[in-house]
Amino acid sequence: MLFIEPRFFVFFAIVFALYWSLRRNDHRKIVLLVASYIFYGAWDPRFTLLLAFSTLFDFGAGLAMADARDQRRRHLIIAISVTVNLALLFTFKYFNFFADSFVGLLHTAGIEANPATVRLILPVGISFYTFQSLSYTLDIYRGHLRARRSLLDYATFVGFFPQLVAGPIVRAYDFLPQLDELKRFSAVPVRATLILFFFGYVKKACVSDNLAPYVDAVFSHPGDYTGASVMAATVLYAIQIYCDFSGYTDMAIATAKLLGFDLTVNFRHPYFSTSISDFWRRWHISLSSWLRDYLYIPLGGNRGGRLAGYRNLLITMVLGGLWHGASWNFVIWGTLHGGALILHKEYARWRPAFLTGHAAYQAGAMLLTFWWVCLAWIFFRAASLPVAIRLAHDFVTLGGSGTGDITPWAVGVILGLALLHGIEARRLVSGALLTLRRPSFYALAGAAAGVVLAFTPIAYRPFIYFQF
Amino acid sequence: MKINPRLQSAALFAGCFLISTYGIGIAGRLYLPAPEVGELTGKIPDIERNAGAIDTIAIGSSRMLHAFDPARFDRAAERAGCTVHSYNLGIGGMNLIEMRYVLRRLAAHHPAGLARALFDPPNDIHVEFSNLKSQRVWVTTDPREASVAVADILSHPDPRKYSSLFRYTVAFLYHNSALGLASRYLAPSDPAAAPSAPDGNVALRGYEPLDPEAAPTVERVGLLRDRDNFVRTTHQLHDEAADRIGPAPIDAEQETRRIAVMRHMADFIRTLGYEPIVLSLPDTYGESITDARDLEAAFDRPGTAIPIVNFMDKADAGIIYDTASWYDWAHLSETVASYVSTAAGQRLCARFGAAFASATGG
Repeated sequence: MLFIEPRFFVFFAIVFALYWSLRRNDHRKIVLLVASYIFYGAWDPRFTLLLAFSTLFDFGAGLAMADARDQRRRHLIIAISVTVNLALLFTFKYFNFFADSFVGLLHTAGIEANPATVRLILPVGISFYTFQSLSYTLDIYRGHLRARRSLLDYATFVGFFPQLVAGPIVRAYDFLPQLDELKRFSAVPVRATLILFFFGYVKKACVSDNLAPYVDAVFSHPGDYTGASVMAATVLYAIQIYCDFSGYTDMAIATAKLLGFDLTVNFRHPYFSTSISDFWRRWHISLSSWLRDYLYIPLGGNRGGRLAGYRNLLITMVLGGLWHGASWNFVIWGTLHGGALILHKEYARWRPAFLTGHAAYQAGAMLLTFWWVCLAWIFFRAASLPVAIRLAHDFVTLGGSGTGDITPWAVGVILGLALLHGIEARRLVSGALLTLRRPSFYALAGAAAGVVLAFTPIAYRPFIYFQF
Repeated sequence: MKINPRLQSAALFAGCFLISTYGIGIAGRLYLPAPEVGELTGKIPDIERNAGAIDTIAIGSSRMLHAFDPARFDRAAERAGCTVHSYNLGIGGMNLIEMRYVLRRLAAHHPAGLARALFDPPNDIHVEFSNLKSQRVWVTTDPREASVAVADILSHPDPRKYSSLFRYTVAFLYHNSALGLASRYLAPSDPAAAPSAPDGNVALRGYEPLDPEAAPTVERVGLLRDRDNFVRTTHQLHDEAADRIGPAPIDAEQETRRIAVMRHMADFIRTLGYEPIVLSLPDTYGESITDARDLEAAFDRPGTAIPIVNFMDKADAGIIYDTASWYDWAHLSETVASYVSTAAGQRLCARFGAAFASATGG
């Protein structure tokens, strides 16, 4: 069930009405939990068993840690929790990849082996809720959080449908306290929330989904297009994935807000970043901060000196790449970002201070950062490593071998969207909408909803991040 | 009376949304160029390539697609003294609105020499929700064709028509909203969707014979499974056809509505500049007025002059309703398709010889 499908609107209208009509907080939580499992089960009812298992296991691990008498026991429990969570992730997400890689390796060595016959379906959103659940037990272990005694609370936290399948990855210490208070609808900023949902919808359905066929065409047959078209398609993909993911996040945050919950911000106009470090403070913030807190810092962070810090950074980024999927393309994507982060940190040590405040320098830095991010996106998007290498070559040299050309309209689209993005980054549109009188706002919203429907392709595309 | 502000807001939102979405949707459908629906128009380029060499098309659903062999039809007509060059424009599952769409698209290309259209009363309009988003349902819900579609649905004799009407209404509201209107034009042209006829179709001029020896379709499996029931039905239809008695559920009012729909179709074909001929093919459902009534009396008479070839004739009943004649419940086997095509050629030439031959220009 996608946020842009009519059935989601019907589903949410029922949940919304039921939720706010109830007076007791426990009853509301039950509504949220049942709704979350219905929402998740809409993909495949079998997936709910996995979600339930993950929930029950970590809830039990949290309680066991809270009741543990000594540190050794706590250590053992967290080790089991991490192992089981990662084993789940490994089984469903990486099994096929490693099995195929192993067979390929044997083949290279001249040994014939059959590929594994068991192919596992990837349960949607498993990486998100596994990390969320894992952070709960890790926080208890580190003493940052007290274990929840209420299974209802914990299950609602893990399964909360607005962010279940593609984040933002919510921390238990942010979310669980929100479950304790009885929400008041009067505290919900309805208009701002509707605007956020609307913009999220526009980004996903009207921008991302309409750009996708052009990106698909070039990425599936790069040899048919000019180098400039490859570059244009890569930039379009950068826009597509941003609009897809941030659009989803906007709708997730808005949906949660309409139920009275606050989710963490996940994007801050990342393509306006002036360095790759800046980019990772603006892109998929909930994941980058998760990786920082639960991987980079436990690895030692930069406490062991500069080189150790760089090593930890690279490990974190490569594993961050692998979090997205089991493929060498994601490993390279992570390495490109990790390498760029190291380069930038080295460069920042020598960079003359006067440069940073200069407008031309800022613009150049922004363009260079965007160019590097786009280059890395090629490995993220391409169907295979050879295709990615070919596309990257054409992107860098602008030397494509085909005659297909999408640049005439792509340039206009890219500039137009950049302009709109720049306008909204200053809140010029949403700010103006908030000042409208109530009847004007709702009349305009209704009319605008009709217009955006015209730009919504009939065939819905799943959100890109659902596959992760 | 003071209205609750929340209710007022919700009503304003809903009202403006409906006006906006259907205003844009219907205006877009009326004034924007209609996109090509390759699944329906795939055979038109083949006809265009042979412009001047084709003077007769046979249009209908899969019943026509699998029953009308242009080569046999042409040979039979020629032997009877009429030179004809025909093409099978049958498309599986085609309904009345789709038929009008295809004919309109065909006429827009002005294929030289095309003079007449044989049409079999097509499938009833029944939208399956699993296909709701398809291009063909989009065609079926054209707002300009709404009255034709409703008349067609209501002209069917069985109670399913109310379900069909409901489904059509839902599909109509879906496809006439703004949904997807602009993005349809923003999408890149898909080379895979470009209209093209399969190679076999080119050689057979659109005809697709059904081979009982090939792997059976789902429908054929159904027939093989319900063999006893099928034999009983065909015997019953045979008797009814021979006696020219109508199947039970058809009443006079229904019959009038159905005939009006067919007449309307014939008139439409005339407005496009082609001569309509009803080629009423048999089926085994026994629910259509066209199966058993004396259609010649309704159509083929002075004043209306809609020629008809009706295979629910006494002379044909023995062949048509032989159980071996059917590939499945709705489609004839190749042997009987050959009989139908040959007989149609002979009869049309014999009955309308001069007009038939002169129109061909051949």
